[in-house]
Amino acid sequence: MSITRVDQLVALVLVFFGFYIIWSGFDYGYMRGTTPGPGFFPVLIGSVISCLSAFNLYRALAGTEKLSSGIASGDIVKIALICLAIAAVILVTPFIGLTLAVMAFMVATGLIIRPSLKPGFLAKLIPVALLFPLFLRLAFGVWLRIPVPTGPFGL
Amino acid sequence: MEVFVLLFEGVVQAASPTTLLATLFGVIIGLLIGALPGLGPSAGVAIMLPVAISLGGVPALACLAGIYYGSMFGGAVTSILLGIPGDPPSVMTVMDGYPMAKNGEAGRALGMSVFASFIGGLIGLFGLVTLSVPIASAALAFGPTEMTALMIFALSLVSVLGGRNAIKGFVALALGFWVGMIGLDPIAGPIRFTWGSMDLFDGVDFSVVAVGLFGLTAMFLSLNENVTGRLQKFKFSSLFPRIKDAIAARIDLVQGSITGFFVGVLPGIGATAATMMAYATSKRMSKTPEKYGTGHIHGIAAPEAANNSASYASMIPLFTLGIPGSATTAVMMAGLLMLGLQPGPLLFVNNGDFIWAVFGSFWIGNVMLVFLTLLLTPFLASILFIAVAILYPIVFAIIAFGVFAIDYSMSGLMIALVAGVVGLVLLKLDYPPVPLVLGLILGPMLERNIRRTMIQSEGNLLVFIERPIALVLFIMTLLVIAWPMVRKMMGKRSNALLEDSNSG
Repeated sequence: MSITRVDQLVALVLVFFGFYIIWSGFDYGYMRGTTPGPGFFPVLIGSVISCLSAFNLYRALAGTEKLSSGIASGDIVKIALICLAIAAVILVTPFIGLTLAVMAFMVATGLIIRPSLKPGFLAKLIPVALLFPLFLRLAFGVWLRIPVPTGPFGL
Repeated sequence: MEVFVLLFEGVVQAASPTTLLATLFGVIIGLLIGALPGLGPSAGVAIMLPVAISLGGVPALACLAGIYYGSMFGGAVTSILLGIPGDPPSVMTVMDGYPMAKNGEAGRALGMSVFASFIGGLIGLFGLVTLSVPIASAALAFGPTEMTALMIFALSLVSVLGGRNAIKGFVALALGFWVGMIGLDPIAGPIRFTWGSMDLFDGVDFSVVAVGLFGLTAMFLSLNENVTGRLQKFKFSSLFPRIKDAIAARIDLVQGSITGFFVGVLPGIGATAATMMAYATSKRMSKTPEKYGTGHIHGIAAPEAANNSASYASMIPLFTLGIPGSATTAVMMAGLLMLGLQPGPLLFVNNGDFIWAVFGSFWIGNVMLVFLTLLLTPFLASILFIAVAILYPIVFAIIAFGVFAIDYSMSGLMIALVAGVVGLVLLKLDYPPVPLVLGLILGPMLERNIRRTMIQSEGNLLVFIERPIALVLFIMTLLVIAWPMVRKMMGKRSNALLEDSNSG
């Protein structure tokens, strides 16, 4: 999908999103007597988003919007995989603790950025991925006294 | 005179071991972040925000600010030695710094960049210290109406000046306002836009959004591992600034510092524009403009002095008015709020010791940076060659621990991730991220102010224009909003006139 098409789609989504905010605003109560209610600002902000996005949509469709290049497909795959890896950290932390989750995450992220199993690269990545989370555990858990989620081996 | 006594007391306070260590830590991280292309000061401050806040009080802010002004020093190293600007404000330094390095004068160029950064920093700090108190005192007279008007004016300025497309700037600002509305309504009570999630009940933490929007987005955009530059050689002994160069470039140093200061103090313009203006002014004032771009020492002095001066100047609206004018100061404001401090004129009244100790740490940090930059230059130059595949997992790990430390919950990491992806899409589509974060930080305050004022005035909107200062600010806001349209119309008109005269 071209960057221009994405721009058009985002503008369209924002037009509808603005309507949703307006609708929610009226639901919360636009005015309470003569004074603004909790929905006052949402109605105002939703209107701004819808109106300006409609203008952006018009510009995008008319081709007056000049955008820089999009993201290379290889980079999109890498970004998506890193996002999945971060989501995995969130999911597994309650079970294995933050330190172990981050260790696995660091190895995975390193391999996503550079998909290589060359011994030279792994010899750098794996020690860093094992030692750095331990340092962070020490810094946050002991020095800064943050209750870091703990899993097996007290990590 | 009184401000200098207060500053002296602040420097003494900032010389405590904890604050010194925090400042040292901040400026070293800043130097590294400045040297790394892709991670600018805003990303660096955002990533380190949760870590710095854990230090508490003065050390926390000394560390955050150290990252900011430290990055201004660090950016020049890779600009000169590799021709790759470490951060956007260092772009102009490449113009003459890299040609000088290729001519075998890398040490001389680096020496001048450090000296210019120091002088720019001194002049910026002098302005910060001397202007903050009068501005804060004047702002003390502002009531809620004037503060509301000022906030709206600053937000309009950032949205119009923050990017190429002002309309998209306002959309980003409105989106930030919307994110700020999520959670419990502080005045009337109902819960807004949480979709039943208890994690969103207390609202969205702006620091988490800043980490995602600036930190993760910056990394997503620079996953490419190719470093194309070739490191230019230099001798360590050649790094020290030369008195002859400093005297020759004295006017550029002063001009760059002053330009940087006045551009930096305006919300939405920033250090990058300041360096461009300082460079252009230096070239225009020069008797040998043809030398610029070929490796001219004056071409390094002006922009390097400007970016450091601008970094301190941009903190004036933050500390005195509670209005951040750039992405980095927005993140610093988030830091202040997390420390339980409300930036604005009352900060000088209620937390005078705190603010002067922070200013004191800036002076110490500026001196530290001169020695650290010279000492660490070989390391900073080589940091570019550390593989992204090793470096970024480390930064991601800091983010994971840091975000958890904000509210002891993993939901923050999910919000940071969403903010990172949204930030990437918005940035690629030319929606500037700064107004979004400013909307998120200032939106709830603005909403509270407007609604409270309207409740007191029983719904009378005219109350906002009854006070003269507020009225002037609203008129200025309208002019700022109308400016892009007027400029466009004037452009079309002048083009039409040009076509007419050509055809005639």
